[in-house]
Amino acid sequence: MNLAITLSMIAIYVAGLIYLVYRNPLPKQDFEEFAVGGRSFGWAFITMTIIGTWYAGSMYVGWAQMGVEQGIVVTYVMFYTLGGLYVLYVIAGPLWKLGKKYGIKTMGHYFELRYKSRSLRTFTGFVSLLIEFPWVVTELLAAGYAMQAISYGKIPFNLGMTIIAVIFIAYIVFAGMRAVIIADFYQGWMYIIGGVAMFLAAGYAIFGGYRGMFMEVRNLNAEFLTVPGPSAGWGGDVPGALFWPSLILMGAIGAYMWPSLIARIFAASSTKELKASSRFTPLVAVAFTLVITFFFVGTAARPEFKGEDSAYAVVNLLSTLGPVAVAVICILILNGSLSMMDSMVSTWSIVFVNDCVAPYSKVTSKGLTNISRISALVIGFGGLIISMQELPTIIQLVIRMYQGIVQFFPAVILGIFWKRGNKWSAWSATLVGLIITGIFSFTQPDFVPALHGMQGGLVALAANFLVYVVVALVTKPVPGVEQLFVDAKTADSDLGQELIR
Amino acid sequence: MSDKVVKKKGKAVYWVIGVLVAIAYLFVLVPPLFSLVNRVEPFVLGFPFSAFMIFALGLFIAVMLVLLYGIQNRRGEL
Repeated sequence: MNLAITLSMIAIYVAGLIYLVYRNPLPKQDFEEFAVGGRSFGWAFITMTIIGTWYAGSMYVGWAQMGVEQGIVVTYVMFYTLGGLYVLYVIAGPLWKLGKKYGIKTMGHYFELRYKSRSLRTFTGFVSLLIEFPWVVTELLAAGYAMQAISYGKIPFNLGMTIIAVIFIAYIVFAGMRAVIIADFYQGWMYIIGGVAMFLAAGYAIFGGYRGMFMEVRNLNAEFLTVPGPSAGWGGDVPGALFWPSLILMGAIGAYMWPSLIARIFAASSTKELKASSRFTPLVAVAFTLVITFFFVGTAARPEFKGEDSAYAVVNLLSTLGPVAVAVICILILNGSLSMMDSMVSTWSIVFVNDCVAPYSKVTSKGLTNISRISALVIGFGGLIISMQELPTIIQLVIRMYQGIVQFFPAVILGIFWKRGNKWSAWSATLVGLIITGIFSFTQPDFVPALHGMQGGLVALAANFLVYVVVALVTKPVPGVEQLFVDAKTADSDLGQELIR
Repeated sequence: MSDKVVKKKGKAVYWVIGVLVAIAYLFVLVPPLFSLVNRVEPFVLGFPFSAFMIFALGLFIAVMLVLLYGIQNRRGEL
């Protein structure tokens, strides 16, 4: 009976997703439609695609583990989410306007326009893909776990991952970014309604409310309710005072440097529609993030649910509420995994074609679209195959380069707001940032004890900024840069076409 | 393109919002200031003090962004 309930619920969820996606085919088979949805999406879609892409399925496992083991420090997620939204608000206007005028679809593409360096475009595309790739492995593992849990073990782990991979790869091939954003719209609502309702209800059912939950945590160990949390949660090696601010700063600055997130800017129909998402996303970020992360902290009060791996403590605890709760939490995990993986794989296929193929060939728009589809198949199923193996060393190494994505920030932000920057400053600064990040990543834990817990990526970022400014000042500006700055302010802020609301 | 005429208006309100958000983030990011917030007692509205302040600071920062959008939208500056 329990299995029938959970499988019925997942079937309804998947049917709704498939119906919405497949009733919206590409209006024409060209790369502009496939890569940025014809730049036609209104604020409601942009809002939901930001939410859907941001909140990953693995958060119910990874962040849950952080809450259970280290307590309230996990709420750093909210502050960096909000910081990222401010970054988006600042860069959105100029990037969208340049994107519209010059057909930009990726960050690397913007770099070629701004710095007149095709090699920087290709380098950026390739490196950003490499840094982001491990996420799809993480999300597939979360999806496999959710499929196993929702079927009470009847669907084997690898089969579960394969089913989910086939679903999202199929709709990426079908309609590219258009399909992804429409799927995100569905998934974003699932998050807001399902997620908030589920955790509030669970808080009352299990603890008699969030107040009772916090009381239980305090009575167990009050250190869970302060940053950085109990020393046991860190294996005894508690990070210093700069760990918490460093986590937030790195997250906020790096948020919209991820290829899959910066791509959202170019899918909007106007700067007005793009920025209109700011009416809701900040408030959702606070409400949604805190409702669930507080619950993660509360789960620490029930150590008996940690089992062998505390990452599954929250799911184990929620499972005591019956099959409907099992289905909802597993659907939320799948929802998050799908929304993140579809965004990443579609964006990577587009970045690969746009930044690594298109600049060096004369393929037609339809040809680029088809190469993107093939790339999505290769990347998606490649990720699936890797996920089924013991995590290879190369992936473990790449995971450690997570902080590398932030190193593109100076070239983006100074490129937008400072005319002096040129390809020498962008190249040298980015390389210095990546190299320093690499050194810290492979020689230190997630934080640098000698720097009071600061993350190495933040030190690299400071050096990155410094190098950019110094090199820009001692070399000549890019010819014609003045016009770009005019265009970034004055280009039409509206496409004047019918938009998808 | 919209045929609205974008009028030059005072930027002071943006500075005010910027400074207020910066102050809120200082309380989050600067360890001596954060230590004022980073304690369990007293419980406020059922939340430990740290959780309540995290909520309050987050809500304030979020509302400021909504306000920033609202002002720019009303002025036709988007």
